[in-house]
Amino acid sequence: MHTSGLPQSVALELTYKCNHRCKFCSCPWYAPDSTYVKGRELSVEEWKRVVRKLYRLGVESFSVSGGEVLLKDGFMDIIHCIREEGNRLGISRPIVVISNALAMEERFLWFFLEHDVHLSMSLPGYETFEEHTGVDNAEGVLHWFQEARNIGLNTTVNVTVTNRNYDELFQTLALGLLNGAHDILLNRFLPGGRGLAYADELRLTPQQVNGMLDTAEEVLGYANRQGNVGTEIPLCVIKDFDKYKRIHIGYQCAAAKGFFVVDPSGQIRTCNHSPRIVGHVFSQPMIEDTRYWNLFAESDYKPSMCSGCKMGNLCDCGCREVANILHGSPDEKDSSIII
Amino acid sequence: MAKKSLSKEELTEQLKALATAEIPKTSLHRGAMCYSPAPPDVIRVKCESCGSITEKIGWDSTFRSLRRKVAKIADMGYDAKLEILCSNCINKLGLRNNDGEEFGNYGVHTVFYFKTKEQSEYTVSVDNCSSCYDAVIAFLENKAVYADSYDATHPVKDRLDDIRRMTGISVE
Repeated sequence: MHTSGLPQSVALELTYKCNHRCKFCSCPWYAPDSTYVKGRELSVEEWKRVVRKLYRLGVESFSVSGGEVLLKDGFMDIIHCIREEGNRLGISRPIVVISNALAMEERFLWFFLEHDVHLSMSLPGYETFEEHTGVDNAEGVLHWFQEARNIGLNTTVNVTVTNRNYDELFQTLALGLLNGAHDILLNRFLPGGRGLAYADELRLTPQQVNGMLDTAEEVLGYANRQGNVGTEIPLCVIKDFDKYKRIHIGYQCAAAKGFFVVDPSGQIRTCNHSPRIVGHVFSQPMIEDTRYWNLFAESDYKPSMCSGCKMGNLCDCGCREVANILHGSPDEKDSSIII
Repeated sequence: MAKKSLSKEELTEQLKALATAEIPKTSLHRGAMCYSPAPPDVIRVKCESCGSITEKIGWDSTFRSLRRKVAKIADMGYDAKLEILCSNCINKLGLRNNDGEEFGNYGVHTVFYFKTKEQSEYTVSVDNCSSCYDAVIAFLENKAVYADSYDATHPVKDRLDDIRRMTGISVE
């Protein structure tokens, strides 16, 4: 039996479809030899039922992604429902939209502005953009940052840092901010999904993880801005965490605690990185694999190599889902950082 | 549009110029939320007795949720309230954790006070468990089952110990 409440944030993956072929993509249905069961994608009316149900169960904050969210027919109706139901309940959190911007249109930006959407657009490098995504659209993404700024829409430049774009990270972050992004979100590459096939090529060393943070702190310092790291980092990897005043780093896993995921067919996962389906949003109860869910909801996982560490109450020793994907259990080590 | 053809020095000068522009408000964030959602805010919770401040990661929506449930109990006509207290203040009240020990010197806790019209004193309990309050509400509404926040239903009779602990009401 669960004793903790449902996480207050949810990520709605509106579609499996995508118009990029990102090497670092962690969507589990794109993994090599994937056994992920893709169901029938929910209709717009079904998504509206999902939104109303999740509000009723205490969820307050919604983000929408995919795949690529802009490819979902009716995505604006779904976002409109999130806002309308939230207004009815007196909940006014920004809705986060995560997009690669390839299918962006000006009318979408105005719609986002009208619905208090915070738009997060992916920029995995400038020179290496096409190498990472299979699409030559770095200029396009920067254009949409400019357009968003012109109409007053808040945006985030979302950079997945890999061994292949590490050397141009300063330029990537600078270009994002200079073209209109309000802040930055760094995600260190985590093997999963299609990324499993490119793990050796993309994986970061501890030195690069520290360098990534240093570069972000430098860029943010010049621009007087703030930023966040989305993917948790083991505390022991960071040489001097007290020096980072602008880039805010997470050491604890938020899966099944801070947020959870509903996939395009309504299946529930602990996080977007996870390939493990634990229930369905229209089932009663929603969570069927309670054992796996509770491992994350109750942080009941720590690799044995970390036992005795004094920072155990502050750190989850990296990404627990990566540990599960690479080594078969969430309490194995996160070996996504080459030690 | 700023382009990659600029050198690091040129980009740096442009970033410095950006710093003089109006800065959009950014909330303090902690914790990892992977690729999709925005990272959670840090919230500062104040002990309602001594005023000490504790920082908590903002994905913990427990307090808001529990206040709503306690308000629902109060709306039913019971004298019910919720206080957020630090460990020091809870220990001074003589309350103990589930192991019967004093609360460790960290964090904040929710203290539930409940009294019916017939009771002269409050029943006081320390409980962060959302489903416990769901069970109490269902019990007071004379329902046989309650739904937890995952939309799973459970018999109220399975939670009679928690209901007695929180309300002082025993059912044989």
